[in-house]
Amino acid sequence: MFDHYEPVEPAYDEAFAAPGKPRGAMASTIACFESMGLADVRKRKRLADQAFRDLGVTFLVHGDARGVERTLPFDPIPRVITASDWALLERGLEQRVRALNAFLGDVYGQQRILKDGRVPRDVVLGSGGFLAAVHGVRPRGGVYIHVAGIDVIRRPDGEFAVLEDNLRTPSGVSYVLENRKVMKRLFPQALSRNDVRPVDEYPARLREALSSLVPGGSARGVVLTPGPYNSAYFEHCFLARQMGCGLVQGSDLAVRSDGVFMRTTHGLAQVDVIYRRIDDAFLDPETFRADSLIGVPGLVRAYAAGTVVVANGIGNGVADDKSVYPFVPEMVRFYLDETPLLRQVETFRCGTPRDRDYVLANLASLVVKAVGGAGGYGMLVGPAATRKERSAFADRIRANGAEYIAQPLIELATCPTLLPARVAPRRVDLRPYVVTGRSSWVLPGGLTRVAMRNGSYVVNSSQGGGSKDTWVLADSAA
Amino acid sequence: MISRAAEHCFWLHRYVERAENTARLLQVNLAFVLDARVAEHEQWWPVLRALGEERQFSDTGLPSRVTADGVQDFVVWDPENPGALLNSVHQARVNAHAIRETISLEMWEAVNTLWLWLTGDEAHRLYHEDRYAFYDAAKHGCQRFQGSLYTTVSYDQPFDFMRLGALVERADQTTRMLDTAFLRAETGAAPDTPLWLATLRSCSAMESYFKRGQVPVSGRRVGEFLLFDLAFPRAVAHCLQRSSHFLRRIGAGRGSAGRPAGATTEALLARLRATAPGVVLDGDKHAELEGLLVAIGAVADAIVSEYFPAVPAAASAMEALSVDA
Repeated sequence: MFDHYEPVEPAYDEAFAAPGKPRGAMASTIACFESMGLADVRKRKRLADQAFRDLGVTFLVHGDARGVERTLPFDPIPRVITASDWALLERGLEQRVRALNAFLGDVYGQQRILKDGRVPRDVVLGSGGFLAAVHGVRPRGGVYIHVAGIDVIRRPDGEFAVLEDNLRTPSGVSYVLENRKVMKRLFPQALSRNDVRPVDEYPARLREALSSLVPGGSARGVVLTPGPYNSAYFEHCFLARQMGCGLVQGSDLAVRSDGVFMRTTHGLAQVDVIYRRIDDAFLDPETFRADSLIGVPGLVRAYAAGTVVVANGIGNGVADDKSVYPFVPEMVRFYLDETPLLRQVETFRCGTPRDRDYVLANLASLVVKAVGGAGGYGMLVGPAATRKERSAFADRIRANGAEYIAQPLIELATCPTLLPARVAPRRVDLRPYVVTGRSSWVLPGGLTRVAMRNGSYVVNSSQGGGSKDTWVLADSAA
Repeated sequence: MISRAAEHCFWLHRYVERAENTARLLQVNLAFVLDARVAEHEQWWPVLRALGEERQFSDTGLPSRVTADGVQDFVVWDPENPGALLNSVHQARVNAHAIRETISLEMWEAVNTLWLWLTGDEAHRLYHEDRYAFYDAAKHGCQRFQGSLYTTVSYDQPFDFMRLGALVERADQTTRMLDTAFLRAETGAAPDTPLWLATLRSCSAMESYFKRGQVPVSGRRVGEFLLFDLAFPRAVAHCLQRSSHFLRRIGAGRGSAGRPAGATTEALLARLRATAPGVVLDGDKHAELEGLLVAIGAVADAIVSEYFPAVPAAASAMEALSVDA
């Protein structure tokens, strides 16, 4: 199966140090797949696809007339991370979330970091994610980032670096749990040869973290979804079910004298925790977009009055803004007085003349992203783009530089991936999840996304990317 | 529980119940027509009538389609037929999808796999190659849902609302089935004993009926059993009694005055139980049974307006059918 597997230079390959030389942590897994053989693995992969369909583990793809339900392409060859690599990453993530949370408390409070000139005022206050409506509001426990999905990549030297912070409504964790479930069912022999840390405590941890912010402890929580037509609806249901919370839509909630209540068959019942999967803009038509039909009028009032925990916090978008991202290491130094443990990707802000000129001169080697973009939409991968595409993007950057950032194309790590006729290297990233209540907890695992097309660097599910199970090994196996 | 979720529960099980009844009725009729040597039209229009789909069928403008395949294609597959098996399963899935966190994973899988099967090649192949097995498989899909309902969720409000949906649908179906059978008997288009045996089978009632020792089989006896029996799950009185039980549990602590839906149900049950079977079955049966259908409809309306005050979008397809009573 792996006889002709050739890692792509100069990328880091997760499984092979060199052709025919598996990395230690992957060796038993490679051997196990090898002994099953390609035909058997492919048969099991088909069963896995069927299992995902039967379970209804689907996301909705937009762009079609009414959206189409699809399963996330699943690759059965796991990505294995050693205990020592993970320990470094875990500490770095925890530190990063602590700094970002402090930043949010500051930006919506005294704004010391702006007064000290460590982060340019216009970058923060001009960010679409900065919401003046919640300036001065301190959420319960001072926690803004209850769930963080920090996208990391592995550089050619093997070190993890942060590509992007997702601090609003990061999605994908349900795939982490479902992928593991399906792996247990179809590849038990591979799992049993490794000491893999379990992931299924995530929903309980999240519930615990959110409840810990409610005085008295006996909290009634709900998951707030935009509804069945949202692309991540499956995940909203999944989490509500696993957390034992009600799944509600905006119209199921009502604000009465600054408290949030849900409409039940027995009248109104107060809600203490809202894990919301609705964007800020649509959350409360009284405060934000008045045309939102999926929000809860008055929710911001209740949030400000402190009667309810809203997770994630309102206004978090200012901290995961792509143009604020370059300043996160500075936040670590400023708020924590620590040295940043995680590297990140060099970023050019096209809003500044110097960076803009550099970007325009080097478009062919850069990746340009819209500051407000997500999901791999509206980005330019310079080296892969045509001359015409690049020149169209250059016009946009000249017209509205502040809307764009650019980064060098990173050689994303590769991982062996099952194709119809063979196994070949494909690019992967990793989204670990950090859950924060009174303290932080990092899910030992995460969503490994795979660019299924040869040579592609875009791993987003909306762009045809798939996923694979991520195995974090326990200490004993290090 | 959340009113919207309760509403989805109600319609979810109601649609599953309808799907199962549809499959059973078609399967029974498939065998019955071999005993009833009458014109094809006489063999199959009663199915449309019993399902309340006569008007939808004539709207298709093809009365010549009252053939075995014409009726079955319409009742199983026709996208223009809101009561079609395919549509019932689709609506069940839509409702289940809206409350995936309320029902258990196993219940969701039951509905989802039934839908995937019905829309896949395998179901079509079976439909053409072995019709009897097709209906069996459809029934089994519904029963898998019912089984997981009883074994994988707590017996509290979501359960109660699901049961209510199924019971209301059942009471309605049994009444229609009986009404149609009497009509068939009156027109003399079908031999009497096979007709009543088929009617019992359509309600999966044959074994229970005979355990009561009600021989010889006659319309009068079958009618009495299917309307007044308190122990048989598809008998109207049983459905009302169970509905009233669930409504009492949902409204625990409130008297019937505080529970209009419960009060409506209890009143109908009391009225039915105080009625001598002869009054219904020896007089103008059709007027009596139509009156009963309207009263069952009023129970459904009372549940909807008490517990799901907003306009129930999920109900539209079913409502389109109920005007045919």
